[in-house]
Amino acid sequence: MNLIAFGCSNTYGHGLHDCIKKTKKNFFAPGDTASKYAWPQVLAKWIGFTCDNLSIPGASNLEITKNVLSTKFTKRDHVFILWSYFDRHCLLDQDSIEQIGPWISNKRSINYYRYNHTEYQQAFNFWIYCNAIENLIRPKVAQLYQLLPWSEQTSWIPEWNTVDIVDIFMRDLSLNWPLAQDGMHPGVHAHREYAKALYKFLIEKENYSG
Amino acid sequence: MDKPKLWAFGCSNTFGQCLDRIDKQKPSKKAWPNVLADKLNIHPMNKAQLGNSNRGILYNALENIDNISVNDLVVLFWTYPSRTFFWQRDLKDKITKLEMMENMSDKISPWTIGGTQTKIRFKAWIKYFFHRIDLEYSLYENMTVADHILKKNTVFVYHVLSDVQEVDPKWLNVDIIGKFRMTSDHYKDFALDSAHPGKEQHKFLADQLYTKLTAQQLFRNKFKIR
Repeated sequence: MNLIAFGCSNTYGHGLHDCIKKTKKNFFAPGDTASKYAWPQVLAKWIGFTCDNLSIPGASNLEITKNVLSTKFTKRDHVFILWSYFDRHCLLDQDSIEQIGPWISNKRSINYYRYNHTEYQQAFNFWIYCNAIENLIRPKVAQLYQLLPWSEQTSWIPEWNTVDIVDIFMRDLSLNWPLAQDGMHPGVHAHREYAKALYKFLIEKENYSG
Repeated sequence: MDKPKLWAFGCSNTFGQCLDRIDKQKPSKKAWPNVLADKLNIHPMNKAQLGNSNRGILYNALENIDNISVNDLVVLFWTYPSRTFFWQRDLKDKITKLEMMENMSDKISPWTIGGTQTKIRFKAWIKYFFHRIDLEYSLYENMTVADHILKKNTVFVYHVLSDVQEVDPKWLNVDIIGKFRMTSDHYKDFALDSAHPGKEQHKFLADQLYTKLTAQQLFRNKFKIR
């Protein structure tokens, strides 16, 4: 069985000691591959699955959606999507994606937050994406779990929503633990605790075996 | 049992703008949803909105989800991807502020809804975010979600596309029963404003959709078409 994980830096393990590169601007970039201490790798090991961590640092929920939709799945795949923060966006082209985020200082990003961004639209868009994924991906895989970093992201859920977000939130949980070496992302203990919470959920509620 | 309903969602091309009079309050009885509903002997529920964007069409469909029953037919006539809208909501999920526009050759449409600030906002949208491929992906996401959620109520959910699409995503899994070039050089006739499709064009759309729908055995059985 395979665990396939999608998400942003919270899934990639950006900032963990095997996934960090100091750049010239004194900014800590992620490593070239996902950290082996990131929660998907830890969880996969505990449940005896192989792991494909397909997360993308800096990804918005739209980019994650595109990433999931362009992946081929089999009925042996257990898919975990840890969605990103609602305030991010991206611009899609046929073969490329331009990330739009509050940390990006080009004109497109700056103007996005100045003119286009509204909290409601960003939240509405997220519920569109996760419902599209539910419809398109669940029939193709063994299991699909949809997760969010913060519990407060579920403070508004549209009435038409059909997705059950797993009630375990990585960033809520990581508040109790030291940050990673970049001082921004969840640290190694936070990843491990999150994997532990998901493991418990899988064993107790989803009949997985350890 | 209540007569089945035809729920139609779309823009002015579904509303029937200026078909019989310059009335912007009520959808026209000559618009394709009424003509199609007559042919199928079901009750028309034309929920189209003037100037609507694709995300707006999805929003309208989701707003009406509780009223759509297992016996009903839903047709979503998606509009031009070059449109967008911004909105705010109140705590009851109702739209409190709505701004709409269309990119017409890199200029804001004359019918733009909103004030000066809206125009500044839309200029930025055209300059930095108007990208055909991105907008078409967004259209297909809208179609996917509308299909997924509406089909919890009725299996008879169909999609119609305006305009020519450049993107053809392999993952798209919805029933598209029509693709029409909704531009003035393809209309059979015009409405009173000389811009929107006329009665003949609406009848043509209804006929085409009727032919496509009634070609399906499941549909014929459900709506008792011989």
